Amino acid sequence: MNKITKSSLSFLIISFIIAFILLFLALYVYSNRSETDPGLTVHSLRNGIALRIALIRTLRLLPPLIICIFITAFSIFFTLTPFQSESFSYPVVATPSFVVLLGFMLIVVLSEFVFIPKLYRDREEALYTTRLLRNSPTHAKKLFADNKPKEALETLDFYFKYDKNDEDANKLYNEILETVYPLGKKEEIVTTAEKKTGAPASFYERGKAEYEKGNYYKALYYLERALSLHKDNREIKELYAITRERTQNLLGSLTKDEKDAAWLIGQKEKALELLDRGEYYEAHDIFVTLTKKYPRLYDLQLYLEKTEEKLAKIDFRIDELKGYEWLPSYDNILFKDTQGTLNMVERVIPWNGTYYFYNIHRYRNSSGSIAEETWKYGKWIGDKIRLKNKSGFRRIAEKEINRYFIYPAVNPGYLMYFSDSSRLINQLTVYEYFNLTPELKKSGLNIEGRYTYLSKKLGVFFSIYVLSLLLGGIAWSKRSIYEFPPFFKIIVFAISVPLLSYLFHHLYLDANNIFIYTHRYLTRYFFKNMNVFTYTAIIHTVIAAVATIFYLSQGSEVE
Amino acid sequence: MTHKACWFEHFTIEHSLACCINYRVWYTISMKFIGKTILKIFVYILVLIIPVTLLVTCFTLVTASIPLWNIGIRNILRHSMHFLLPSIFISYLIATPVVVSLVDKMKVRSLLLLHIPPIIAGGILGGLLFIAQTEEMPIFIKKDVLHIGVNTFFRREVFNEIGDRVVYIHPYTKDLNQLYLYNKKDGHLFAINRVNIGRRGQNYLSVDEKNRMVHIVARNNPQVGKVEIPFSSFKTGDGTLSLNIASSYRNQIVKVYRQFRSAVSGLKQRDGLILAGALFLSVLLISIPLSYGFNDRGWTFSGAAGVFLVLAALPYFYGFVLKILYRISPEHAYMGRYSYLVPALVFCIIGFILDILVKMGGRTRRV
Repeated sequence: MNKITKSSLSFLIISFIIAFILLFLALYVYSNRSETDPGLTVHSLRNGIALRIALIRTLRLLPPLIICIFITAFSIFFTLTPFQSESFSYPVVATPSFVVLLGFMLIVVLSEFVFIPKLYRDREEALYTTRLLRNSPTHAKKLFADNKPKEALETLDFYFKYDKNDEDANKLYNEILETVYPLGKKEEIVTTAEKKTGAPASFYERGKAEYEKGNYYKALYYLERALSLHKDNREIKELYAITRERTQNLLGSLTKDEKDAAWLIGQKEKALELLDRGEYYEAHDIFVTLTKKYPRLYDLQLYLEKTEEKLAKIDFRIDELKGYEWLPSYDNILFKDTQGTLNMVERVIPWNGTYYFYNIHRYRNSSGSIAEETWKYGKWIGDKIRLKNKSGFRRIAEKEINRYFIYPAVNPGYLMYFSDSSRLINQLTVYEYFNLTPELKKSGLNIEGRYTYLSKKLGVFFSIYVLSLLLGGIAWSKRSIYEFPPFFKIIVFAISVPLLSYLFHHLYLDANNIFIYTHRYLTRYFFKNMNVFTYTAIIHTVIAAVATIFYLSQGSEVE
Repeated sequence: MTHKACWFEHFTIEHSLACCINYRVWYTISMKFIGKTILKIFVYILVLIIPVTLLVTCFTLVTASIPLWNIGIRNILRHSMHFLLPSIFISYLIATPVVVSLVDKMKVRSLLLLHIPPIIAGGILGGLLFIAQTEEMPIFIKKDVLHIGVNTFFRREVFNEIGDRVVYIHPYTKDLNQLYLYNKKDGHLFAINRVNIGRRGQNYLSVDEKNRMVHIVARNNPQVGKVEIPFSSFKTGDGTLSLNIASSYRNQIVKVYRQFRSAVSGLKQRDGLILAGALFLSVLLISIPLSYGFNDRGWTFSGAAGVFLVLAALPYFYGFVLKILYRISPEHAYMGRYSYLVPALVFCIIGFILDILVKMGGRTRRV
């Protein structure tokens, strides 16, 4: 690589890096002042949001930035002293510039397809956390007032993850601790993590521990679980037999007669069988009856909890949703499900990997008329939304399934942005766009087809290629190597060239939109099956070929 | 010894003949330069006319809040014919300073000479347009023949976001639709059944071009009644014209155009034409010296890019000066019945001053 080639490469790359950093810093300062929530005191989050907004804007401005750098390079940089040598010829700067241009284009391709959508998603998540943090101290206060200190402390713990120094939150935390500890409730405030670390590892160990403590029903529960996993284990069998004997002795004191005891054992075995068969609703009904009748039989309680745990995977408790009502939500979401029913959800709350729905209105099209139905609660379970008005668990009859479940075409993580389609579309990477567009369209989102999307992106990439080569070539043919230009010309250049690059880039995108628009006429009258992407790609390739020929046809002579 | 003294002291027939020959050479060169420059202007106009017409057409459609995504190519063509005259005028206004900014300075014998080609080109264009108009050639469509309908504004089976409203249309027979109207502000969703497209039946969805509204009428649903959505609520597209910077520029052009319209409205047709001509001349007088000024000491790309700044700044400059002048003029009526020409003449004077400044700048420059 000769010296001039090296210089041209370094001029282009360094100017790109400097321009990128300067633009980013300017946009960061602007975003930090204007775009972030002034009420947000958590600096790390605020800076994070401003940083992402600035980065998105900088990446969006990459195409005009690259065009501008090429014009500047061919107008000024390549006329400076390092290039004033006898061995200089146009190809020595044109070839490395072309390679650098392809490198820049690769960065733009990645940013348009991956980085920008990812940053939009991060920004949305950060905005949600912002709203969550704003609600947290108020909610902690309310919980404390409702005599729920443990939940209040957990809420504040979440808040402290982002802002440890908030005075009001710290004051509230100390107040809760001071109020609770003197009452001797310290043991109650044990976090889930602590509970987990203190617990024995296996069912057998837990059963043994409970047996040693004298909690025979608890021990019986764990040993039954252990036995179901290891049927031939002698040690478990022995301990189970002893525990069962103990509990039967205790059972004698609880039941009035033998008949009662037999009924209890029969019911329990039936429920366990149902539980094993996966018929959780029926098992749950039996365990509810038994626990009500025999509240002291702790193994029944544990079986009930286990059944409810299983049911939580296919159903939910309304109390669970009431507990999350304070969380910030995405409001007024309209979407169509796979059965064509229009749904309007007043609130959607994403939390712990699932989604909670509040006040759902469904508009079903039945034989030309519209039937409306309203549900209070819904929860995302598996691949559908379970709807409920009343508390408790109830098996849904086969014919009623479509009433009690909504089957959306896409995950609620996408649906919750339906109130503002552009917010969702900005977050879609090329992979998601390609995979999800048909489903999103089915759900009612006003989104362009995948090939139109690709054609639009093609316009962005070719805009960089064509305009950089074309304007760079023109700038080269109109350059001056004899004298340094007057100051006012430098000022004019500095103002007009970035604006011109920006304008020309957008005009090229407009032209691309016109190409895409004319595709409908082409397929109507000439090539019926031609894909819009192929069509625009052909047009852009022709334009790019002309631009390349023009760029390569430039020489070393000066006008 | 100066050139002038020499001319007087050695005045002979030979010298006179030499001067004549010099004059003829100068004349031939100048005529060549003028001819070539006029040709260049026309070539640029030809290159620019299609994109400019498209841009002007889209500009007017966006200003009229008509969405572009489904307007139809026939509508665009009809509408662009309606705006052919301003498109030619704008192409000419862009072409002239670009040509001046790229002109070979060595061939420019006088700055005054540089004004002649644009004026001749403008005169030829004006003449051609005048003939086309008097001969009633079909390049002018007097009445706007834009055909818009529900399909211009709404897509079926998707949520059409219109400001705070969402409209969802589900066709269930060939003629009848279910329409869902959702208001994001109050969270109310109305489902309207058996909706016709066009003004017929109990419930319908129609476009009122005259009042620039979309009507949703549900006679059997008193809660909905009649909903009117102005065209301005619809998104017109995501092109250059919808950029913030472009919309601000668009508003400025519209503002200046309105100022001009209000100035012309009280005048007779003849006076209006004189005013338009004087303003047109003033634009040339300002843009030519500025563009020529940018075309200085190599770096011609910078000169051509500078034209972009001149064109960008002109509407703001005109808006500003017109605003001031129309505030002053009612109190001080200059030039009798031709007082309406004062703003245009002020611009022409500014152009002359710029000419002098550029000329002086050229003389003081060291070579």
